[in-house]
Amino acid sequence: MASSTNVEESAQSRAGGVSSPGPTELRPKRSRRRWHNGIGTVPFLVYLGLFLVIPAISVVVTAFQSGAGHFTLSNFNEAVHGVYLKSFINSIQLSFAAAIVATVLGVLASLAVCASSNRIVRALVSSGSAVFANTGGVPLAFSFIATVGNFGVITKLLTDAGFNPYDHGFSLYSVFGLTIVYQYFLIPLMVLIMIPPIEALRKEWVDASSSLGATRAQFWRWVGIPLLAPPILAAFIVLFTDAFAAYATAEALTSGTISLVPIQLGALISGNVLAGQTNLGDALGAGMIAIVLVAGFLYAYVQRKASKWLR
Amino acid sequence: MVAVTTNVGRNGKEPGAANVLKLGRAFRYGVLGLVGIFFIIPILASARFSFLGNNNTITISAYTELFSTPQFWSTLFLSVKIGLGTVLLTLALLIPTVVWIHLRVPKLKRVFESISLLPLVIPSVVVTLGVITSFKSLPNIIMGTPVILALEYVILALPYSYRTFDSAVQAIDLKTLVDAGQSLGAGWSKLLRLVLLPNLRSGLLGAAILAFAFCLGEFAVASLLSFTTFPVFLVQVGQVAASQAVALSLIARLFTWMPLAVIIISFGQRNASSKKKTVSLAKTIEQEETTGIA
Amino acid sequence: MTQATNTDISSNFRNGVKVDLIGLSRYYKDVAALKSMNLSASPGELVVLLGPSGCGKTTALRALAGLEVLDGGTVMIGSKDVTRLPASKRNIGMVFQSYSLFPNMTAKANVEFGLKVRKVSSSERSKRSAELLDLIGLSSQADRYPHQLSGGQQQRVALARALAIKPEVLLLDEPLSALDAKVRSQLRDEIRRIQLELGITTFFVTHDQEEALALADRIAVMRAGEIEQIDTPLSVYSQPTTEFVAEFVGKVNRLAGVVVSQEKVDVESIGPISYDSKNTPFQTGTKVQVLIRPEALGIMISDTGQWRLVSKSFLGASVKLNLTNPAGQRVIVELSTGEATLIEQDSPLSLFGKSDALLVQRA
Repeated sequence: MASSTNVEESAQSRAGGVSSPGPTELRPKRSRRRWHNGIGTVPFLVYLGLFLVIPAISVVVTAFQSGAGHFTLSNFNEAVHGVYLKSFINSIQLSFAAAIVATVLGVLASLAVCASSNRIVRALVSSGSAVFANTGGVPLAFSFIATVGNFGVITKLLTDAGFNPYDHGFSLYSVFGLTIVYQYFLIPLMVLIMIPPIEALRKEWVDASSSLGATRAQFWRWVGIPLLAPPILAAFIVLFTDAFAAYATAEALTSGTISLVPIQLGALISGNVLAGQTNLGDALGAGMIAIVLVAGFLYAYVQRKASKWLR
Repeated sequence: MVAVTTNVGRNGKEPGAANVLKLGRAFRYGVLGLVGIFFIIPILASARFSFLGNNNTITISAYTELFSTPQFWSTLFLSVKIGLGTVLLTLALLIPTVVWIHLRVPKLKRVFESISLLPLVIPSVVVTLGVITSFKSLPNIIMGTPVILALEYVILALPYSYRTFDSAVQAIDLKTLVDAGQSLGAGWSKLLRLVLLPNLRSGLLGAAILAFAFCLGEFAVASLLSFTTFPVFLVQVGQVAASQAVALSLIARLFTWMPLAVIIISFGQRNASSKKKTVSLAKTIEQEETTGIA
Repeated sequence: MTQATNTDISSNFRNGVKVDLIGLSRYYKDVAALKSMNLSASPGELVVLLGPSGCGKTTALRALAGLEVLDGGTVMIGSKDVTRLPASKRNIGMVFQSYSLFPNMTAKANVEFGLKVRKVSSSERSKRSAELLDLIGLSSQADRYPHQLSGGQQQRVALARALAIKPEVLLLDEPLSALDAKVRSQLRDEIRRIQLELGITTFFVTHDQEEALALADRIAVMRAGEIEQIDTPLSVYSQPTTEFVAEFVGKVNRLAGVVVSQEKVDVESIGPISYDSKNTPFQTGTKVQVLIRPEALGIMISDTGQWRLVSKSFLGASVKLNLTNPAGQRVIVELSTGEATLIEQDSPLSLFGKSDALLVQRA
């Protein structure tokens, strides 16, 4: 049975292989046409090259140059010491913590939404998430200042009730505070990313597994979790990158008092440069690119793993 | 034992996932309620804060003062101008490129889709630094004016604008339309005007709105290149008058929410019947979220 | 697919069990999906539940599997009352419409899933999955993931997975409906072959009457939560008890007529046709409606014939003819291809009854 099918298939593909490339005289014409085909995309690629690739490369190249233009590693040496090292550590800690919290809460929220049969709840949450995920930036910082800042509405309420959170080690203008604030755009992002894979869990799989004798726990252990783990991991990486690159919220909230990589880099760009640090910013920038690239490769790897069993 | 199966069929018309998950009502509403509260409180608190006068009185002075600040209007106007410029540039770049790719080199669709996501890989702070280092020597008309912002915003908004337009083109079977148009004797300009643009209207609108909303909210590049756009003005106000800044944030939020709500709702309706498009919109939005707006 | 393995596998199955569904009821809000339905299958029998969508056939199957909660009734497998048992304790193999394979597992792992749940040792599992993949002819695809298999192959694997747990009963819920025509009939025959070989009591749900006729030991035609008729394929086709069954299983012509005797009815524009009166005795002179299968009518070319040919469709061994007469009546006749060549567009035609009318009922 199987072998006959295979024979058929290979015979077909062989036949296809013979007929499709066509006569040889077409070849030169083809390659010329391929060249023509590319032309329409040139303006787009040039634009991208000019305003994205060149700036990015110039950052990386300059990172290896001294003020006089000679090759040097001193910028990187500087970037991994003192306050700059601290900023990398802070940034990574912040992004990691914020992404972990948002992943957990976001997954719980997406499960809750997907488990709900109420259409209104579902529509509300999915469009609400789309909007809130875009609510990062400066306005976000100010609405949290108004809420739990030094003089925020909730801070006041709590102080009146005899519990001033600022007397108990809480501060909005800290890494911990930022972790909370970032949830405001990270959780909706997580929900948006996770709803499709959760919805893709099919009822037939549950039915099949229970007719085969499996308990619900066994279904989740062998089917549900293996299917959801890659998208969750991939989403976590997206969240991490998003938090890592975020500048506006942190800057508006802390006015640069917390040492994060984007903030340090911003300060260097705005001209707070000490002598001998000419190209230090470029080294920080190159460092950021490197971290985001690593995240990107991890993401691609996870996606490829997952696509082993998905279309 | 029977309880295990009890919920399966009870609500026969539930969507698939509801049957798969079977989470208790308490869990569902508990989680959604708590998350909901977290999202609503800052908005309510902002509203309350912005109307707070001395000695707990209620006042709208934060708003009236804002509206009478010339800078409020000038920065808003600047941001809108930059936004419009960005939208025009984006469309000029996207329409020919995407249409070309779909007609002539469909094999490269996915490649260009990935290329359009490149700006997500490079944080906007780094892009800004790169712009400064590499374009130092450009004439003042570009580097010294907000033109450079529009030029860069085209790039930074590309992940959303490209996706949206690309999926709109994907949805209409461009090649068949063009073949049909040509067989009926339409030239390229007629084809574009009578066939392509009307069919791609919503995709163009979506791409334009996303790019525009991005421009209204972008802070990093503008502030680091020392242009006082609307969000930069917002931060400046924040350093002086907290209640005005909070009031302004509410206003700014409306500016970005309204256009987004428009596309989410209109796409939602248009795609009610077409799963493929919904998926691509979901993708678009998902990409959207990963921006540097934050 | 050697003879030895097959006997090996069938020996693993007991000789089929009896299944009784007694008074099954199921309501969605106020709509009845099942109205006190009764159905029994003898050991090793293949019963097809046939009906239009929404008739309750799938609900009945899922109730038997334990995937649907009943509002009333009893499910007996063998002599055991399983009504209160959850699906996972019923030892029933089930094949779904499509996409039911676990996408994160290879074909082999899918087949072994039920055994893994039962904590069967891995060597034992491998042995058994190899046997079953061989039985369905997919040994060479064991390590492929579901998305790398064609629709037909996926359904074969689903069948193997259901059989791996040595179920007492096999349930198939429209397993072929997502496949294209050729694969469908191929797999249909294969399912029947395997079912006969294993002697397992099987329920098969479908809305495709051709599939039902080809597969079943008995067909239960369902309508609105009830069984309209249950009988062998031949009886259901040639002796339907109701108009619904007659029309659902095969094509019929519906014509007006008058009863002329105990055995004959005079059909308008056609003439006398015999009918089986034992179930439905009518008084002579009763106006009736007569249902006649297209192949139960014969055609003669005669100058006085009122009927004319409208169109012919060639079906292979037979030809379907659409006829009409001046009164505007329309009739379908099916003839062997040889006979049909004689009928031309303008020939005056008359019709006669070749065999019994299918069903005669009061007009």
